[in-house]
Amino acid sequence: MTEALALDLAQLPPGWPLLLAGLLAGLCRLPIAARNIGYLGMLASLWLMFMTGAPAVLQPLDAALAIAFHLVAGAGLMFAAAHEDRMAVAAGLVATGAACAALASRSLGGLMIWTEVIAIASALIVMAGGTPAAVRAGLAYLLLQVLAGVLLLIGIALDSNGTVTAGAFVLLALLIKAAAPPVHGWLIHAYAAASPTGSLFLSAFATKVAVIALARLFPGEPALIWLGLFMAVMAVIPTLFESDWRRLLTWAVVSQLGVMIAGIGLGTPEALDGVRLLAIGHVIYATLLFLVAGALEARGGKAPAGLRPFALLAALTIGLPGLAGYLGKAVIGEALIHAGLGWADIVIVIVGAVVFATAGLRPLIEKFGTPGDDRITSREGAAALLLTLAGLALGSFGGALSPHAEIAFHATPLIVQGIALAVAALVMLTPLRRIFRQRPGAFAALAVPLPSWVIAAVDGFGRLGALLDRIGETAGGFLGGGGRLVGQAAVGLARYVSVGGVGDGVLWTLTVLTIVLIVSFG
Amino acid sequence: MSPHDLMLTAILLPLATALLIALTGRSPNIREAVTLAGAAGLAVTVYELIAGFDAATAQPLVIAEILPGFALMLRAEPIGLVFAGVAAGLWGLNSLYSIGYMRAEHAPRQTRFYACFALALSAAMAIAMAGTLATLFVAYEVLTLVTYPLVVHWQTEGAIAGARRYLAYLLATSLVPFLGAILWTWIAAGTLDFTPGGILDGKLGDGLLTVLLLLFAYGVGKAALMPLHGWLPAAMVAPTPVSALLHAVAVVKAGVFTLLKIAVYIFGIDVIGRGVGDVLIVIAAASVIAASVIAMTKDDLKARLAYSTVAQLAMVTLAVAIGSPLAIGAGILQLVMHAWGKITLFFGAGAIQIATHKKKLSEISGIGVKLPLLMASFLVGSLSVAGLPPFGGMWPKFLLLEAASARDLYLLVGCLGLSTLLTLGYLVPIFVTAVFRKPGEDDPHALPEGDHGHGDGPLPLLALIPPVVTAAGCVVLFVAAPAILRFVAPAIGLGALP
Repeated sequence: MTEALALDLAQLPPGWPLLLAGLLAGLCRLPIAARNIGYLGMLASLWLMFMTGAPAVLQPLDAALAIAFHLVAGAGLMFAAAHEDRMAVAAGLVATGAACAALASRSLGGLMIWTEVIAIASALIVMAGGTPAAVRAGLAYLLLQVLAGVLLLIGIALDSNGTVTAGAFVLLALLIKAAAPPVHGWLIHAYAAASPTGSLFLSAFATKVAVIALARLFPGEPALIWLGLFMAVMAVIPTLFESDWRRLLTWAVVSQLGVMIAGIGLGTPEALDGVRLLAIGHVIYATLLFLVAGALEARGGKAPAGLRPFALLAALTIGLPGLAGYLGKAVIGEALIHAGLGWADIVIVIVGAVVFATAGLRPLIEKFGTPGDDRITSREGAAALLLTLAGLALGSFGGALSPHAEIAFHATPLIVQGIALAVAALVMLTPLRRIFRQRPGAFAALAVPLPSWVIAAVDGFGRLGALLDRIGETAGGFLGGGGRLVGQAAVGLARYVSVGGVGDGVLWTLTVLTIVLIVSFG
Repeated sequence: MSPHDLMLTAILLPLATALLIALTGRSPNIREAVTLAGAAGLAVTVYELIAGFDAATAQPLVIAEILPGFALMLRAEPIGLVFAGVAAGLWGLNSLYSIGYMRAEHAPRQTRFYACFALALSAAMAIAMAGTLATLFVAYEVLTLVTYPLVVHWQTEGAIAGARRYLAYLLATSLVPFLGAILWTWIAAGTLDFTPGGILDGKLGDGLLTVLLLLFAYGVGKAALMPLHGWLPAAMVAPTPVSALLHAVAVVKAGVFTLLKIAVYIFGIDVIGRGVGDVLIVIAAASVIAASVIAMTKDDLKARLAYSTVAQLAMVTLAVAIGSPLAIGAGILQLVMHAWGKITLFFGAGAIQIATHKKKLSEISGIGVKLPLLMASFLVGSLSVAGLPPFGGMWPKFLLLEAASARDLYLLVGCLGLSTLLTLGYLVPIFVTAVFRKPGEDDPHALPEGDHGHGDGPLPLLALIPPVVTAAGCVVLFVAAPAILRFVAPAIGLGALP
């Protein structure tokens, strides 16, 4: 690992200006300075990665993902400016830089280091939510992510001794980080607990880096197809019934991660390019959705004037051909058909349509009914516009990133997607949608409450510690008592010997004897 | 200067510093300038020793031979130089911090404090350069005695009781099991010289060697292996810079360093690795986990950190017990990384106390807002001690995992993974409470803002800079760790780095 790491660390990782900007922004008390440091770091990072004329470190698709990360950081900075969220912004910048570095790392060791940095930064983002629930969720998030990191480290350690179990540890670690069931609960709990700005940053990095790592290390692992499809279907069900928009979005994120994992399981070059395209598209549209939902939540659910068009755009970006979300899903679907898994294609199209209906359309119809007096700020508008344009760019020109992308625009996938979206729209635009009655925290049981288990485990260890401590104190007391008795006995004996009148004699004899012994031995 | 002169300088320079401190005690500024100059001089000396070290030409320096094979002798070797480098490097930072801390607390008896501090460094240097077990033992006892006035510094009733416990534990363990084991070794092997490859192979059966190793492990009480760890929490009565000295610079480090030396040069790494250390593996692993869970229950910040030290340094004992070059390398790195991480945490705890007069986890809600830089350093220290990248603490944990899996000790692999999580479980809440909780939350006894009996003092700059520097050091050490490994690799027979 030392050699691979030396190679990785021989030069500054891409995205280092963002890491630096994040650290500086975190220590800077002036919000306006922190924000501008962030912009500077973002621009410098983009410049150093793409504009200096140096040979590209990243593959075209990874580079596009890195650009998407930067756009998220930019949008997050603009959005946060409206709501003053310094800690989340600083940690978000660090996470962005680390995510870029993770994309560029060439060794497992490097990947582990940068995913840990993302984990630490993300935990800080969650905690910056500020409520006691957010602090608890953040701590649990950190412990779980570090558990994954430890598994990764164990995998690396085993690997250098040439055992086969190493791969299993690495796979397990990456699946935890990619929020695969049954450990997807951390994502639901943490994202929902973070502040609106925080969830903007959270949705982009940790899971996407894990997905890209899975795509690099475990392509074509058949079990992942089933896991991914199960994940996609299982996580989409709660979106039909959840009324809290941000929580609903977290379920949608898990569902789309499932689609990506299914694509990785298929493992053909076509499918892997589809996974990367979907990852890029998802970074863009999920952030846009979280942004709109956050802007709404920040005003207590009263829709500000000017937000509705962006909500419509966000909804369309999820699935409309020509926008960010469509390309990757279509390529993965076609790859599934080519592999003889046509039914799986139907599943992911339906899942995609449901996400379009529940995460985009339904909130648009139902949550924008009570207009507030407020307008959206120009910064919020700019952030949303930035992401919308990014989605448009990816949707229209994304085909140039991969030779496999053009099949997304063949007639069949377009028609299938059109029908699916039409049906989804039909259900959501008519009272038929009332079949799915919404309430906050629907299907909470599906989000395995890992964070509370983690906290319970920590508490359990605490109780064990208290017990051990008490045992130790008692034993120490006994020992101390014993020692005191021995001491008293010794003093008593000495006193007896000296009082007896022979004490001096004995003492002298002993001394002389010792000296004689030492001299004769020497 | 020749290596011999440098070695003598390293030991005598702190001694001279102590004398000068005692002489200039009347004027605090000069006294503290002397301390800083001594620290700088020692750092340069040790740097020269390390830079000029050449295993091929290094000769021992015999001071006196009391009995055959029972000599006072100095010898520079890589592990000792690493320890000397850590202690010498941190002395200056700790002195800067001491100045900030002791002045802010208006502490009495500061001359005695700085003088004993310098004496402790002299003893630590002698331990680091010791060429025989006998030399090491003498220096070890001196270190115990000169740190006693430091521990008892406040001379309150509690401080006297704690310091008495400190002295009792360390003297009792060193005079009975440690001295016994040394004499046994002398009788069995006929010499006490630190010899590469060990001196005991073939002299005693493996069963007896196991017993002897346990005698050493518990005899070196400074290594604080459970259940003989009680002195470490007891010594928390000392001023914070002294705690930093005990935990990070010299005392506990001297303990685990002694164990490393005994493993490498008395037993021989291979001898321990063939099964002699197996009992100790179990004890040390249990010590790691038990101390970690106890740390979780402590409300007092310094007590929490003390138990954390017990857990983290049991990992060095664990490395000794595993007995492979990789594990010993991990132990040496743990000695370095833990020193820098833990001193950051102690600096942080002390600075919190100066700035807010709060010592308990349950009282510090929300203080992070006032101390952002300090709490950032504290977070870095916590993560480094826990073993997360990109901080130095990751390396020893990783190498220990490798060493454990190379010997097919999968339960141990699990233990080490768990320990990282437990470490986060007891260290990160300190940061989280200070930064993210609001004052009064979860704390029914919280006073309303601005209603403290004594006004919150400002944090002196000298108490803020050292933790920031050591936190930065944790990041630097992450990159520098392979270089340290390469430096010690010949001494421990470590081939290619993993």
